[in-house]
Amino acid sequence: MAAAARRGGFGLLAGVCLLLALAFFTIPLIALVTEVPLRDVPNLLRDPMVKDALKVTARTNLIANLLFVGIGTPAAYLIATRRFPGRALVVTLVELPIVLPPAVAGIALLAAFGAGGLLGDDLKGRGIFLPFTEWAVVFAVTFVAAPFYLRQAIAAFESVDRTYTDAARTLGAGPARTFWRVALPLAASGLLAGWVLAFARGVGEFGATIVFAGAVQGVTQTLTLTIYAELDANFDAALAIGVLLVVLSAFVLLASKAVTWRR
Amino acid sequence: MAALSVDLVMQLRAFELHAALEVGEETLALVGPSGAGKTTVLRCVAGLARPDRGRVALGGHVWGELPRGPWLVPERRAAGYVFQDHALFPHLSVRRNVAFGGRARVDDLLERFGIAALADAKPREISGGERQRVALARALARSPEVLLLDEPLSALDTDTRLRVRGELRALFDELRLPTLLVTHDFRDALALADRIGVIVEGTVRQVGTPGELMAAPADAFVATFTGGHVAGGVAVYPWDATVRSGAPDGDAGLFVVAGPAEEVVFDAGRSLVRVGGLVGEAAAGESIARGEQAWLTVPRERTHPVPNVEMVSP
Repeated sequence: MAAAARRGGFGLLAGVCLLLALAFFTIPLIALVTEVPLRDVPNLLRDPMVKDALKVTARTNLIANLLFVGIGTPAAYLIATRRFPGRALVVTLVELPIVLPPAVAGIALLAAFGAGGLLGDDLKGRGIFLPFTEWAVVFAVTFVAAPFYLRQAIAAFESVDRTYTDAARTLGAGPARTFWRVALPLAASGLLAGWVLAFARGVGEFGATIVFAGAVQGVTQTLTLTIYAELDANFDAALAIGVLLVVLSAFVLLASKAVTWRR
Repeated sequence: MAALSVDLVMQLRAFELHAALEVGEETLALVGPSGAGKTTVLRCVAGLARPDRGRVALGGHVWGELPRGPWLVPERRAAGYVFQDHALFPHLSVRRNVAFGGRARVDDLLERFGIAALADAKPREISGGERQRVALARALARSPEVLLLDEPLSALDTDTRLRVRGELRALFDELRLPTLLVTHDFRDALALADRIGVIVEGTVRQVGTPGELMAAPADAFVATFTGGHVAGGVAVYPWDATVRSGAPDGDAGLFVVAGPAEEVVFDAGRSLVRVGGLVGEAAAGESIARGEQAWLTVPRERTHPVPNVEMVSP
């Protein structure tokens, strides 16, 4: 009797914890869509500052995502399928930005590519100046978001049974054909899951961008930076951007789940 | 047709693998307990593993020669490999699995293996026996000059197993390719192979036709593995020995063991009786109960003295 009561008591406690957690996550989201009249959102998003931010965010994130998927996928495949000395160190280096505070990432990028930085002067000599340009945003987003993709991509390729790639080789496929026709399709859902995380992290990038790229309207001011800039000037516009980003994130998450279920 | 010649030395975790084999236009089965290094031999022939030293050649064409010399990558060796669990690509249809090995003969192969109706199915939608045929068709799509099979029957249930065994034997006879297969089951090897190599802990103990192995088992392991029983340095096969409840008359040509019946097993209409560690068939009309005094007799020329090597149970 006492044991059953204890078990029941624990179930109740866990249930209360779950309700608390759900409330904590949903109340701000509900506030976001109730504090701004939803039918005003399209108008608010037509604000020139918001339109500029939308373009900057779309452009920089597109380039950053192409970069880290294009370069990251073969790199992750190599890490996942080869055993080489220093492999653990390589994996740690790739994962480090995940735990690095974004502001630290920004200052590190500035120290590397900024004026007087490690590579900054060399680049300047060749007419390349990165900080406070759109490319600075691309760098900041890539630096902060790519590790999420890489880590998941390594795990996805590691989970592909070696027998399949062995079979491809005995059937006459070289390493490249084995990668494209066997490893990549078999790792696809894991790669997609990693990309969704990295994409969301990239669109939400704030700290590294403001340190390394600043907030120049039409050049480096992304949607998240605009939320910050509009807090005092136009709170409703900031809320509208919030609604847009919530809808975008939810859509990407649901779309990726739909693709994974279908497989 | 060129013969496959294999000579390998490779340090594995618990022992060193030594394998020297010649496979002509025939099927050679490498038989041994799991962990004996059988699959490693196949992987070395296919180029999926790299021995410390050794040579793999098909006729005059050297596929690998280590430590000095080339070691060709798998895609440059004309070897068809059928994996233990078939390793069909789960994301490709049956047709595209077969076409992966080569597009030219896909329709013929689908027809030949009776899987044309399944061409658009995914591997997870078909049965174990069908998967086996797809794996064979895929391996042959590359027009290999050597066929390698890793435990070709182990992924199948008992009913399918017997049918596939017959299909495989017919296929080997039709192809006449140097074929190397590995199995832990001696009966499968008997049914499929022209010659059998017994491998234990990385060492090939004996290679020969099934008849040769049973006529003169090289050691106690080979004798036990091929179905015999060993006691006192002598191997005896159950079908050569007779067990009676009465003492035989003193025939000098007979090898006799007397003792209580240690175990009595009924098998396919016969009754097999163990006496003094050896097993024989109860003589016609005899019924021997466990514990009764019994005499096991074997014609002397049907006993096989075996060197007293350490026993490894199969």
